[in-house]
Amino acid sequence: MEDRNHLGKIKTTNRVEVIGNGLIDIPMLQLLKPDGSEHETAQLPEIDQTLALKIHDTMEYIRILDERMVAAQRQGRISFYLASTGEEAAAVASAAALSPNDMIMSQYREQGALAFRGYTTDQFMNQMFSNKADPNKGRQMPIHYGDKALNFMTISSPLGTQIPQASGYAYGQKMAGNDAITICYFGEGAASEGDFHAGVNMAAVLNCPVIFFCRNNGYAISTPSEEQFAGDGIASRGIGYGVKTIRVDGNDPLAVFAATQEARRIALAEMCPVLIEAMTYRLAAHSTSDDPTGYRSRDEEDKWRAKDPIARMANWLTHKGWFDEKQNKAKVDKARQDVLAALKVSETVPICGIEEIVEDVYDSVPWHLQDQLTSLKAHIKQYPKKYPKTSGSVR
Amino acid sequence: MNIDFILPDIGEGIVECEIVKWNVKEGDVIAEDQSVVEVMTDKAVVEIPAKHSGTVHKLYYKQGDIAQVHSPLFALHTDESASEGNQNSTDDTTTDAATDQVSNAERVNETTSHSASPVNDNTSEQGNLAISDKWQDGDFEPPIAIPGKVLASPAVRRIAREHEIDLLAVAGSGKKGRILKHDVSNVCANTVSASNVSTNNDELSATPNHAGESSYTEKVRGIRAAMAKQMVASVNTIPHFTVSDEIRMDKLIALRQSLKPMFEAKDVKLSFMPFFVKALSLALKAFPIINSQLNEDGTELTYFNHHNIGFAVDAKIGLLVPNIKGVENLSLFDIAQQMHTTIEQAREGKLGGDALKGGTISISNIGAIGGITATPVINKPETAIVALGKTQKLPRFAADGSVEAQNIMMVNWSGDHRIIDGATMVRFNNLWSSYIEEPETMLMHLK
Amino acid sequence: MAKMNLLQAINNALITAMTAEEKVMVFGEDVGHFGGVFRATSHLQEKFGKGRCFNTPLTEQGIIGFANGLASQGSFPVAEIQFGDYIFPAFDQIVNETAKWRYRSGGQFDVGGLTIRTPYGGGISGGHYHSQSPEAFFAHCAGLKVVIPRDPYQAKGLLLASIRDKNPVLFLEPKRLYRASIADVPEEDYELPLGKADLVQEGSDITLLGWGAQIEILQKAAEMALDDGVSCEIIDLRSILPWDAEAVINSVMKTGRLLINHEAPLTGGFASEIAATIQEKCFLYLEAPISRVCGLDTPYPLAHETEYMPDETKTYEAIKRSLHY
Repeated sequence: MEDRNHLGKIKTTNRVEVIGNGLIDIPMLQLLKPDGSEHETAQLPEIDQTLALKIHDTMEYIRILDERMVAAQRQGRISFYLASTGEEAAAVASAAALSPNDMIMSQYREQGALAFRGYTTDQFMNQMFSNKADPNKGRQMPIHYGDKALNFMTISSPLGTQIPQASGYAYGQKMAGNDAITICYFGEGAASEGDFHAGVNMAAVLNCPVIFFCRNNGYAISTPSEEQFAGDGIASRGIGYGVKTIRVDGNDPLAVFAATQEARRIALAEMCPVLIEAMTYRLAAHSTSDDPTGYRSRDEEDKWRAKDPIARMANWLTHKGWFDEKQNKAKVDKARQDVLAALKVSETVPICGIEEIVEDVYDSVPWHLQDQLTSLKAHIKQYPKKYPKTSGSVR
Repeated sequence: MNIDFILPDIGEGIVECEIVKWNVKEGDVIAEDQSVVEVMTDKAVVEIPAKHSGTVHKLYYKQGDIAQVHSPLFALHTDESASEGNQNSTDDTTTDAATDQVSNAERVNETTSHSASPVNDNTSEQGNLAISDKWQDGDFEPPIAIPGKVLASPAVRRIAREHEIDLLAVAGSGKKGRILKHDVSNVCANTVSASNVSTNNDELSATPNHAGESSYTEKVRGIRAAMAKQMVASVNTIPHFTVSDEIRMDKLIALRQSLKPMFEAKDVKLSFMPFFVKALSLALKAFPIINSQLNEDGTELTYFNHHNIGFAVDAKIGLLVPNIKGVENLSLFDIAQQMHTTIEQAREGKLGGDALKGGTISISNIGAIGGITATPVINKPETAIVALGKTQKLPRFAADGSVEAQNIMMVNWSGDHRIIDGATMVRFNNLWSSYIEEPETMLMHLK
Repeated sequence: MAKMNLLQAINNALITAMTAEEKVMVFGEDVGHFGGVFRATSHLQEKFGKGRCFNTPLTEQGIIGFANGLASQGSFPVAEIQFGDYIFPAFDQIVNETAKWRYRSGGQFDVGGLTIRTPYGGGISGGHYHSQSPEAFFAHCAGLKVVIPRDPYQAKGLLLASIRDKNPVLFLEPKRLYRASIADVPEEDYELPLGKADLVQEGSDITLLGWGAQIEILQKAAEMALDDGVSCEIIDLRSILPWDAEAVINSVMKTGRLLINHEAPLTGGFASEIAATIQEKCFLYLEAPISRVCGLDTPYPLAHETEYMPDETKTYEAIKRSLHY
């Protein structure tokens, strides 16, 4: 058995040395200025027009979708929605740097990544209306997307649980020799959960090829980040766990893209985790149940409106001669129409039949659930007016 | 057409919100998505955009009002084919009212007889009358019936235990032989012997006034139902034969007269019955077969050394046949005392279940009411029963050929002809009669 | 066939599973080179390599979260929680994630390949935090399976079935029997069915129901009762979720009496669920109230461990009360 030396390379000192906070400088990567022009010393990633436009268009699409669904919630058409306004680049540009085989495990504000992968408007709508075309079979609240074909793990409401799960998933990818990695999204609030500590530490110790992508958007519902942590953001924790770390301007699509690209390369080459902290701002309310006027000022929001990632990207694309204003307006109008049309179709699709309520609890329906379903069906037949959504189709 | 826009629950469980500002007024033409109103919940101020284009027909609240969630907020006049975008499946409006109470109709069974009637024993079931009228007990179908075991709820088992009823001997009227509450109650109120049935029942049942009707029907329940069951069982399985004779009562009458004061001094009424009962016990010693019982399939005959002699009593709830246990060991006084007590208890409805069980032979003193002869039905599983007619003063020839008045009582024995033949029955009756006609002969056997 | 104790049988099952399928991986605290604090995972690392059998940092929520991710990836993680008493930091991952993974995704994803192994139960002077029986907490968790073996033969077959079952399984091992229970165990690969109880002994007067280490207790009590002429039927439930109500119902219809024994505290213990279901299904067949012989509603004590335990004398007295009811 080998001798171990857990002191490692620790130096000795003869005076009390108190190490304060922020000893290490973790600068924020920024390639584009807020107006969309490139920093002189910026090292831009390799990106062609098609991909760049796709990043822009996806962000634009998500903003339109978000707007429509918030209104739909106000109209009582869906029960709940969570918009990613102001943070579109964090999700879209990072997803753009991945390979389709990479697994995405997200928190709940990364619909941009899902859209980038190719989730359609109909698919978004069906999930939100919990109808029988919803892949979740109407079991979860709106915005809890998941798609096996697109390698997007189904979202769950408890915060941070996906972090150690991502470590495990990535470990499996490593063992399978997949050449694929996992990206794990979470907010700075969720990073206070024990699961963050457990998951990141395990990924580091067990050499898991996972990108931990933190959207530090300044708020966890009404709690600002100065009430969430005292250290230097989330990036400093990565270093604490021995994890390679990059901090990036989350509203700079190209910076996010470049950071994620590099992180992916490192994760695969070195079989290790990488932590990215994307500094951004949650322009939206936490969700449709929240009203930010209760805890922050309009002025503060306006400062960040000036850093809008979509405008920044559009401006850069224009500088590159890759952007057509008229074409874009046509795309935007069409997207609005398509979204509304898809909504109106989805909202009339009925929910699943009642048999689904006992499916998928296990791989097959056990006796006790069979019994419960039988009783329930008989009861629904007896009181059809009380259960109008299922009484018509119950056999 | 006008559609109401229903104020939705926009904040996970809010019930009301305040109208902060209307952005439209009645008569305005509005477009889809146009902001209609701003409302305030305890969580947020939200703007609600229009779902459809059209003309604002009516605003149901004013600025500053508190609007209720799930109630109409405003009405829009529109040409759009506006389904309210509900995800109801298509038939929800149809099947409704008719089927709503469908099971209730199915569950109201035809009323079968059940004895939640006041005829029952001490356990108060009057309270359950209302419920069991609407829904019948006994709906549940037990999966299996197990030989040698009973199917009964804990409540039923309790009643059986309290009344010392062996559930294995009770016939269950529920599914798969399940014993229901009223099955046990019937047995409690039971062990009725045959002959006195008709007259007593007429007196007992609170006959409602049916004057003027050409006929009326009532349910057979309670003690009447129990008796019916018992009689059928007895007559169907036991081949009855009857032996009659007359007994001269003069000497017993005199004896009783002389003993009466002594008994009364001890607060015990002395009727003729204790003499009949003690005489019967003495006679049974010589003819044990009269005190035996055949098993159900007639393959085994059990002789009992104890004489538990039953006698019919006009009890509070109807005719009962309690028995005096172990008469062979009891004195005349004991018997008289016990009979006295038993009759009191029966009249007050306080007879314990034990008194009604375990009888080995029965006497029916129908003559106390009237009648000369009868054909009594054996109290199954006993072997014999005697019905006593009324004592009449009748002219008879004395030894010297003169006509004298004698007190004569007719007695009628019914016996189980499977095990008792006529000769045996007559000989037995001769012996018993002799003890009654010459009571001093009983002294021979005084122990 | 070989004589094995419970630990050896479990170790054997793990070796069997890992040999048959390379995506089976075993991890937890101290399970690597050391072989686990109870030696259940001994030699696995040397046989199958550090990639498939390894130590994790000390974090139960991390272990199960990691295991969830790995299972959703299509691997077959067998995660060890060192003592059942320490499973609670992982409660969120188990209840909110593991159990709901398939249902919430409409069947697109699942963690059916996950097995969680943990020692449970008292009798080793372990006090509050090395003796708990947490099965009732998890019985309430739809989507999970909970399995408890009573001896080495059962353990190997049930563990192999659990690893291969397409649903996540919590496998609770009765620690006081780890070395004490020895049986003949087939050396080949075999499985025993989940969700099915096992008739340990036939009888006619009363049904005794339990699981894990308490089956031995029921057997001792049954012997005491036999001296009084009482014939006890003994059933090992084996699976807490889903549980084999049919087997218990058939037995109680025959005997008319039921006694349930578990170490876990009385209130809200799994015997409550069994009693409620059996009184519903066997109402007309019961000749006495259903009896529960369980631990006290206290944290698991040290000095009073013997008095706390639902032992054979308490069980025997309860049998008598039931027969005399």
